[in-house]
Amino acid sequence: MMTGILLAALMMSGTTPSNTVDVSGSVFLPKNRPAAQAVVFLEGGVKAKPLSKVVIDQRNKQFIPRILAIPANTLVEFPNNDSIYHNVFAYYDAKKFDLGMYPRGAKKEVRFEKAGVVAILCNVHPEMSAFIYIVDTPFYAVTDNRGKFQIKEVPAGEYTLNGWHESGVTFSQKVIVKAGSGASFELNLARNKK
Amino acid sequence: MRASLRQKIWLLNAGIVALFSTLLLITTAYLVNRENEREVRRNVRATGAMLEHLIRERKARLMEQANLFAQVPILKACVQTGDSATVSDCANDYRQRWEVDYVLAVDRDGESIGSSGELPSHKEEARLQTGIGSALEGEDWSGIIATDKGLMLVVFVPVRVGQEPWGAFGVFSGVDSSVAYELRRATGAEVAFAHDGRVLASTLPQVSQIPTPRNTPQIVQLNNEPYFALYEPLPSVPPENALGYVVLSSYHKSMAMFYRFRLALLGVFGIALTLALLLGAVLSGRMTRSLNAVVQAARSLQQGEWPGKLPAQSSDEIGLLERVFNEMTEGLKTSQERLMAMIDIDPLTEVDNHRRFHERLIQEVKRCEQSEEPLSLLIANIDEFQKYNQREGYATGDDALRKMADCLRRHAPEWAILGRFSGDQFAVLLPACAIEETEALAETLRQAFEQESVGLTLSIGCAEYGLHSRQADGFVMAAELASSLAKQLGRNRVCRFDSFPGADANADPYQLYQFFQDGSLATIQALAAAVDAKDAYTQGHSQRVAQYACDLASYIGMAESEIELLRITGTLHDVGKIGVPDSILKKPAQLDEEERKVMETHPVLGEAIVAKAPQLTATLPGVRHHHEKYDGTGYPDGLSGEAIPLMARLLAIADTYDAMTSDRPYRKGLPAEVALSTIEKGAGTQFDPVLAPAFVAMMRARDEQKAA
Repeated sequence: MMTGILLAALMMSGTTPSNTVDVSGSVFLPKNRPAAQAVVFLEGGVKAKPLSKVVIDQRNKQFIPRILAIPANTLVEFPNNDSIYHNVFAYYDAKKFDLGMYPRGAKKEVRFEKAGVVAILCNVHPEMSAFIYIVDTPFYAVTDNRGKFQIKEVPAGEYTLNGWHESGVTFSQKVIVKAGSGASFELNLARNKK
Repeated sequence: MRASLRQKIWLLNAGIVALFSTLLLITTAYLVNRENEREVRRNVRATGAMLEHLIRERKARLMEQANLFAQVPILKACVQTGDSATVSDCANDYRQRWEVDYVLAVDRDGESIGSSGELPSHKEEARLQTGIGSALEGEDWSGIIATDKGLMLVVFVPVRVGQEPWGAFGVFSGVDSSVAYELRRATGAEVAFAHDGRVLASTLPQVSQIPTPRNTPQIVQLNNEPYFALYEPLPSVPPENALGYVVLSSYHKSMAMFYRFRLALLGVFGIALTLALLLGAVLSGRMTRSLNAVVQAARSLQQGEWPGKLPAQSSDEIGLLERVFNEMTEGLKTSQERLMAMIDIDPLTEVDNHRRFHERLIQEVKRCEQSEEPLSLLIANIDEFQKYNQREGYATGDDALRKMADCLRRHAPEWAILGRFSGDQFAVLLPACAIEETEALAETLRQAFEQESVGLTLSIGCAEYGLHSRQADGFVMAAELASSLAKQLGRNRVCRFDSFPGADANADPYQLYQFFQDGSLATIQALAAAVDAKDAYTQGHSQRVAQYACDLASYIGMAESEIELLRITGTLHDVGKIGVPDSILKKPAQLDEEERKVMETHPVLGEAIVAKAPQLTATLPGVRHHHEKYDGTGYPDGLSGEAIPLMARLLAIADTYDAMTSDRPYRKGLPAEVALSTIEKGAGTQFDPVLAPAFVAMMRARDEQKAA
């Protein structure tokens, strides 16, 4: 159920080429807390173009970054930069992948082809976790600690604006991005039962 | 129902003791009961504390284990992806490892994504949802739920991926009977966990339903055993869930002390009651003994006997009653003595009355019998007092009587007993005095009274006990006869009874008195015989006179009843001769003037004697007048003609005839014909003019018959 209220205001941006605008905004968890590390993306007709390679480092018994948004078909590298053994495993595409235990200096890669959320876990260290949000669009962002985001050069058009936070709250609404002016959105995330 | 005072006191006493004992028993029972309730409450509190501790401990352990499991990365991964087969594998693994009953994993939407074991049916879905919700919010949750199989401790913990809960993990661990046993070990009381009255776990086997009394312990029957039961909701469970535990203290065990105590109490009660009954009996007995003594005393008063003095020692009401009663008795006694004194003393003359005098006479006679001392009696008659009274008035008469009494008091010795016999008759009893002294005293009295009073004189008769009679009544009669004699001799003189018993002891005046009391013909004849026996010459005289008179009466044709009366009168006519001194009676010579006078008193004395026998009243005229003469020259009254009673006229003829024909001390008896002719001559003068010739004719006719 959508409870968020869309507030759209046009902002002028002189630096962007014509027909594209920068979409920015704020994301809020319930009770108006700013949603840090939330994933925001606009879905429209344009398919994603995979990035060459993204790294999730394992350092100090942490996955860095913890939240990662990538377009589909992007290869993710998991180097172990700790002095201890780590393991990377996840359920992805309805099956488990497990990169096995590997020591410091070793690195392993996984290509994520299908859109969705994947929880990256370490079999050895239960406190370690990371999320990879695979999107099928080039327009995505992860909010900063104040819940702010910016997606550059979005062509004017009709989109679905999505928001996700690891606590399980989401946002999804159709928006129109108009040319010639920047767009700002406020996303109020909420639990969306299946 | 009527109960005596004694019974009432006794009952009251017993009642009070019984009441107090019962109160004591009830109070003890109440206190014991209260103590038992406290004990149950203590057990409940202890059990509650224990249970809370146990639950907290178990929950903490469960929580720890659950959290540990929630950290398992594979579980996290599965929760995140919803791989329920893997989750169930994990859950199974967990359940077996930690020996819990049921394990459940849910995704972040609360949907089950795997479980292990079997959750017994229950009605606690809402609470479980609360628990899951709480875990999905990142908060650990624990609780207790009731299921069909028993109580279950439940914990839900979040399964976090990173900081955020991606699901929840629940662990259910049954609180089985072992917990109840553990609690029982600690408190000694039975414990049952109950949900809505249904037993979930218990130390009492085979109990499925149980009452759940809140706040106040109740006695309940379980397995046919009584228990004090108190229910308490489980800690950290909403009260509306009706989930709690019942602590059961064995009734018998708690009451065992009281049972022992009760036996002792009953013993004390019994002893107290027995003592009270005994004490009551003694006490009431003591109280009523005094009262009964008063009642007895009052009863003896009622029956005319003076009761003994009551003790009157106690200072209580009974003592007061006794004192008052004593005083009352004393008062009555004094009053009665005063009254008795009044009765004993003649109020006018203040000498003893007849009754009292007679009493004292009897006493003196008794004493005389024992001491052999003489005892004399004088009886003084005031002469012609009747006429004096009529002439001077009764007030003056009373004065005279008082003077008489004064006179007696003055002259009689102080030990003499003075009495007023009748209106004008006084008596003086002189113990230790012989007849001579008494006569002297009588003479002194006679002279003194003659001088002191106004024209009144005394006729006094004296007698001595033993000398004249050995019977009190005869003794008095002797004095009376002497007094009558004095009167007959012309008054104002003293006479002594001077008639000694003759050959026949029956002549004793007492015997006469006895005859008069009887009054039968036999006694009258015996009396006559006694009179006649005083003198050999008069032997059979009375019988003969009676016979002659009767013959004459028959001859002239009188009625049979009259003739019978005449026979009795005839036999009695000379009875007065008892009062005539023997010296005169037996004088073998012509009597002189004085002696003749004494002799002539005998009809009046006879009348006085016969008058003592009321049944002989009809004979009195004959006795009195048998010495009257037809011409009025006879004695004692000088009647003449028809004024003389017929019986007296008949007797006069018969008497004279017998006197003439029988021998006398001074002459021989005359022949019958001489006597008859004397009578014939006396007709119309000495004798009845008709009866005298009739008698002569009868006698002559008899002679002729004899001759023929």
